[in-house]
Amino acid sequence: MLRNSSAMRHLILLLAFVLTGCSYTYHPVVTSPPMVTPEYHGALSEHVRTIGVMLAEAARAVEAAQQASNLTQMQQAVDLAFGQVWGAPSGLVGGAGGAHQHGWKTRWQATYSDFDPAYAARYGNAPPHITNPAKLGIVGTGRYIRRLLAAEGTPRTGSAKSKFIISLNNLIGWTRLDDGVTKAERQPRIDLTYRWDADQDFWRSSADTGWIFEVQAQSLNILKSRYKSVKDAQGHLDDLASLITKCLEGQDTNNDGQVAPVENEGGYLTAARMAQQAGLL
Amino acid sequence: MKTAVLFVWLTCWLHLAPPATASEWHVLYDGRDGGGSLDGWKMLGPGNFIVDRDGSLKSQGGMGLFYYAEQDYEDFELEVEWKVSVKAANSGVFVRFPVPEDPWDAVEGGYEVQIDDKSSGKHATGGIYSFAAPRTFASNPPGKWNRFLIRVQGQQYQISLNGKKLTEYVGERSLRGFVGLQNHDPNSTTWFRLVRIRPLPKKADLLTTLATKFANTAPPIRVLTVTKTHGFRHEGAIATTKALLAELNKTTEFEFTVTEDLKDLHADNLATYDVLFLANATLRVDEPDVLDESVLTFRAGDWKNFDAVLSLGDREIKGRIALSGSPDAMTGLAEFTSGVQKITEASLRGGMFNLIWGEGAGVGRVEGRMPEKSDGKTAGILRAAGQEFPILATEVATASQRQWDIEDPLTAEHREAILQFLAAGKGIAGAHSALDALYGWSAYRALVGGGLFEKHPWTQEVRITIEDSKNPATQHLGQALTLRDEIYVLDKNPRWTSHVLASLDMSSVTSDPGPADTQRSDFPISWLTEYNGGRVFMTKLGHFPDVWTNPLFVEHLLQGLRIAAGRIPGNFAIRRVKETIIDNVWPDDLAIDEEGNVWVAELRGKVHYYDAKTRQATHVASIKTTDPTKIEHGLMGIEVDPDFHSGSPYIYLYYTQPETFINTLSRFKVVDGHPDLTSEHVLLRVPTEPLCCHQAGDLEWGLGGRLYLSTGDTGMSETRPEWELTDKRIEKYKSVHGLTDHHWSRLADSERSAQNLQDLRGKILRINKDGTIPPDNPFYGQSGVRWEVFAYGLRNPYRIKRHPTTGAIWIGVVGPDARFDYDEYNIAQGGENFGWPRSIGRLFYNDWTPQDIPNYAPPFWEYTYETGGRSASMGPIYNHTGPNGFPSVFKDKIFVYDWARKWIKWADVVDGTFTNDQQNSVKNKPVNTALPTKRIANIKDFDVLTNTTPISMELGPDGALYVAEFDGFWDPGPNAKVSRYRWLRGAQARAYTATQTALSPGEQIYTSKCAACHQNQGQGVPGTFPPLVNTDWVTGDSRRLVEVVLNGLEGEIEVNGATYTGTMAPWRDVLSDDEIAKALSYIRTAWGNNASPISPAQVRALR
Repeated sequence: MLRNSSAMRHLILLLAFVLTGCSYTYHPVVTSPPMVTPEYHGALSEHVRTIGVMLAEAARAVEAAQQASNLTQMQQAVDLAFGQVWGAPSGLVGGAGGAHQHGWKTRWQATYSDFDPAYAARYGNAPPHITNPAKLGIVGTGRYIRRLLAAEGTPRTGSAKSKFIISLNNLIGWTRLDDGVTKAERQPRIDLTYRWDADQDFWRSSADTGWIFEVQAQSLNILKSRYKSVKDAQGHLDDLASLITKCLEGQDTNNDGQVAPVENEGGYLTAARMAQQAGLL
Repeated sequence: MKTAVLFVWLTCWLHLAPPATASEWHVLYDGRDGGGSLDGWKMLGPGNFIVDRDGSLKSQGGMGLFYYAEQDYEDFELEVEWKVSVKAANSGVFVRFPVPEDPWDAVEGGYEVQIDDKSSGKHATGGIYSFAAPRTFASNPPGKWNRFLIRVQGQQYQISLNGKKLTEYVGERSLRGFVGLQNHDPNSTTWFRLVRIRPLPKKADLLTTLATKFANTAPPIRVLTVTKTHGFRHEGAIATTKALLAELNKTTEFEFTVTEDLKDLHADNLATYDVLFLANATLRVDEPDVLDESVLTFRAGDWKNFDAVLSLGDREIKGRIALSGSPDAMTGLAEFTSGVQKITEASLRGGMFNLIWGEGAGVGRVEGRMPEKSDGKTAGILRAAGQEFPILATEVATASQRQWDIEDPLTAEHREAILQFLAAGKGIAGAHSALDALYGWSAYRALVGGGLFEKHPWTQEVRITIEDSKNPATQHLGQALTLRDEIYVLDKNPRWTSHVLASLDMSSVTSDPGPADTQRSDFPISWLTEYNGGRVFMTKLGHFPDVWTNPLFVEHLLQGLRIAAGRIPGNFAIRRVKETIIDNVWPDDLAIDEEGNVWVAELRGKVHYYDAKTRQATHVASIKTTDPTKIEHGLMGIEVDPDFHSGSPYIYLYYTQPETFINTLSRFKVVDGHPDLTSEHVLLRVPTEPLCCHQAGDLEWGLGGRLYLSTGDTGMSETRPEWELTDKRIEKYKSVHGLTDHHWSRLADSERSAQNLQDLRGKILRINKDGTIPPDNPFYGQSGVRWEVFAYGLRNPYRIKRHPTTGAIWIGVVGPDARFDYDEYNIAQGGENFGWPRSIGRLFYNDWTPQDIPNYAPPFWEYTYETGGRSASMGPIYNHTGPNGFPSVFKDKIFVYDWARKWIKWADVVDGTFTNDQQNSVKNKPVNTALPTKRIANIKDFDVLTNTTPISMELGPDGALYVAEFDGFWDPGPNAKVSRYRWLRGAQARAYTATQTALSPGEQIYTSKCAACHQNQGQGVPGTFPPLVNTDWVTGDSRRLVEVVLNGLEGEIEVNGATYTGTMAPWRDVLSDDEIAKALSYIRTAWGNNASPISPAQVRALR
């Protein structure tokens, strides 16, 4: 874990190296041709890179917060980090209360008319307020990538694409949009049940719902706390920096010396490496 | 003869001369410092005792008896030190047994104070073997010395172990005998030492004591005691009562006149008494000896009769069973060898019946399955004499039912005389089967507190909690009274119209803390009430003769008689009332400000305000929210600022923002009595999804002005088996985790909410008033989790309440709807994980154990799906101390309620142990968890709503309990309202009672002039006085009816197909036009009749 500014800068440099298209030190070897069309390939790779950029922005913002000279500056910087998660500020700088949150349709890019007809009758069929994934932060972009890949069908277990999705899921959460019948209506499901037989370690980790939400939680905590000085918040800011680092680097959960593209280990960099292997980046 | 013997025995018992002085300890065997003398000890039976190296007595073999044969003892204290080799060692100390020829003589003739740390109940250490269970476990570990103190005085036995009082018992065996030690078996090595005894000065005999306490110089209290019975006669108890009262006449201020003749209940005679005492005066119908269908009256369709055959091994007994009523309220008859007997306990669930009839040795009990078809014969079980026999029951298709209206043995004149006796300020007292009486007289039911005998499930030693230890009738009893008696269950609880002095401690009759269904579990034992200006003292005690010689009971009774006579103060006029304060609302949640004004939230967004001064409710706002249909979102919670009237005029709403489905907690300023919706300040946003259900959404103020919010997991438990749960995958999962099956509830999706600390759902949240996070929150400072979280692992914590002094948040959690799942109640002090969806209630799903759940805390109560839906909800912890609050017995009690089951209960919470459900575990090796924690106890019914359901509950500053009564489902129902329970006292209670019990003028005339012939319920008397119910003579031509009353009627008439030949006298010279009109208007609308009233002018026109 990186807990100081110089380490964070080093990481960002490393990240920039990846995002500019250069292969990273892992030097993945693409052994099979890309399975997507060139147009598709390009669009998807752009979104994969965008996530990296946003993580880097979040890391920079936290670094700025750690070095802020007053509470307002600190809050503004933390709010920037918060904004990378969903693409929107909290609305809490200089104030207190409930943070801004996207509505359900925007978060899941769905409409009520996608489900039971009774739904549209009760709640309307207007589209989400925001549909551009680039404006929906790391989570919205990540979910957009998954939708693109889902259009191709389920990747082969053990393939690089599969491993890319696993690491992306660790970052943005394994939850997915589904449906089911309740009260005689076809209602949406935000589904984790498909992982019901995962090991207890998976459920006890925060990878099941996504490490990036830890960043969101920590940012909100800081924005909703009453500090007397930036110094009071320093420990909390250090924790926030560490959480962003985990999103980037992943973690060696099984202590085997590697961060593998498996659940509860691979982070963004691992996802990027697998994307390169799969020809998606 | 039997009575005479009893009398002699009682008199002797009461007058035994006491020893004059107290004694010193007499060491029977020391055993310390190397030994002691064994002079006077004798060994009987197998095995032996040897003197061990330290001098203590060590048991060997068994079962034998080592006893002190030099002397027997009467009243004494016996001290014995003992230790055991292993926890399973069995031994005991015998007291008061006769000269033994065999070790069993001590077992059968005396009492054994048991030593057996492995056993429970009446076989546990410190109990009296087979007779009385100790209250708790108090033994030291094996190898450590323990000390018994056994106090025996009269028939009172008290056992203490290591300084803890364990057992109190009223015995019935010999009043003197020997003491001894038991060597039970070779595996139960037990050591004894310091066996010493101290004879006690004999307690002053009962009559001397009573003479001292009740020998006032005031004018005598004249008590007319009725022991007449119609129905079961407690012969032994009545004989003992008569003997007691005769003795008391000689020595106390009381003058008892005992009668078996109800004719003595006329006005002139009653006027010479202060108290009418119904002592075991069972006054039921005289039941026919045989079931003669020709004399039965039937209500078509109500009853089912069954021919039944009891197969008793080599012989069969033919009989019949008649049942009526619903499965929840059933009555009936059984006729076998003992003639027709009323079924005293009956239930029918899922086709299975359970019937009990008869009394004493003639008691019968049948369990079985009802035949589904009239020709079906289905085996059941007769349990008798400790054996089980098959029973065949066949429904008789053609039979209908027997009328169970009880003949009233009191004439109208008697009834009127008793009412006038009360109106004159006199008193009535009743003991035991006085509550099994006069079912046909509504005034009697009212004057005894509202309830009459329904069944007697407990005939055993019971512990009775003294609720009012300051009342003269109970102050001598301390906190509890233990005695053996038969305890009645009444059909209505007298608590709501009476001042309860003592009630049954349910833990003394069942180990179950209480049922979760609507079964009553609150059983007052003695109470005071007031009726028609007179005072009433009632006690359920007095079934057994020896109760009437128990000095504690007798003093209780005599003080009760004193109170009923008005010689010493009681506390009579008190009653609970329930009032509707707001109708035309669809309440979902309530909040009450410090001045008692009530704020009401409706699920569809309306906010109402009830002004406590004007008693007017106003619709003050409508917030735009989501249609709740099939998802449970909407306006879910409301709170009012604790400083509303002192500078913070805010209300707080928790509602779903339309479109976004974000549950939002906002503060609104109230201006001119209306919430200003433009002043909204959002404090917290909880994103959810548009799916059903589990939103929770209760708000509660904590200590220090913190605001708590309960949130549901908002998850859907349904899985998609066709997608993910293939048999192959399930089998693999079971194999990997050592499971015999899998719980689908564990497969639910709430890991992402309730167990996810980055998410606000499935939690108790805690924030400051302005939305900031209190730094003393339990997760404050922990990286990557939401610091608003106060507790988690919750499914649908629908209602929460703050403990008034500890500040802990008490939670009612609605669980999954499956037969083995639970609802639960929790206490959150900060940081707890209550387990969902890894556990619920006592159940740990699939591979999870308590150790796998970080910060796990068990519930303090849980109950299963049982017979239907459930919605565990937490009500207030009652702490109001003002003058208008609930009776003191409610202090610090918790209120719990259930939306689905409609009940409201009150209970204690005590230290206890949580154990998990192993029966429904799917693990190959079920977890065996026992965790010390708070547990519910003494659960009692407060109310069961009928056409509404309780959905929110608040304690007002006036001490009243406010309840939001929900009706409808996704839309309002017609019965929804806000109601209030409060207690009235003194003049208020009397005024209220008068309004409730006053007879209409027409009913008064009917009762005094007509009921003697036509009976209280207008049912008439076969062949003589025709019925007035459902007959054209009453509800038809009004002219004919008026003429009959004015002119009388003679000769044979036919009413409803039956012939009557009685004579009715003319009333024209007795009653005025107005009185006749009122009486006839009454009978035309009473008992189900529905005809138009009659005016005085109509009467006048025909006079």
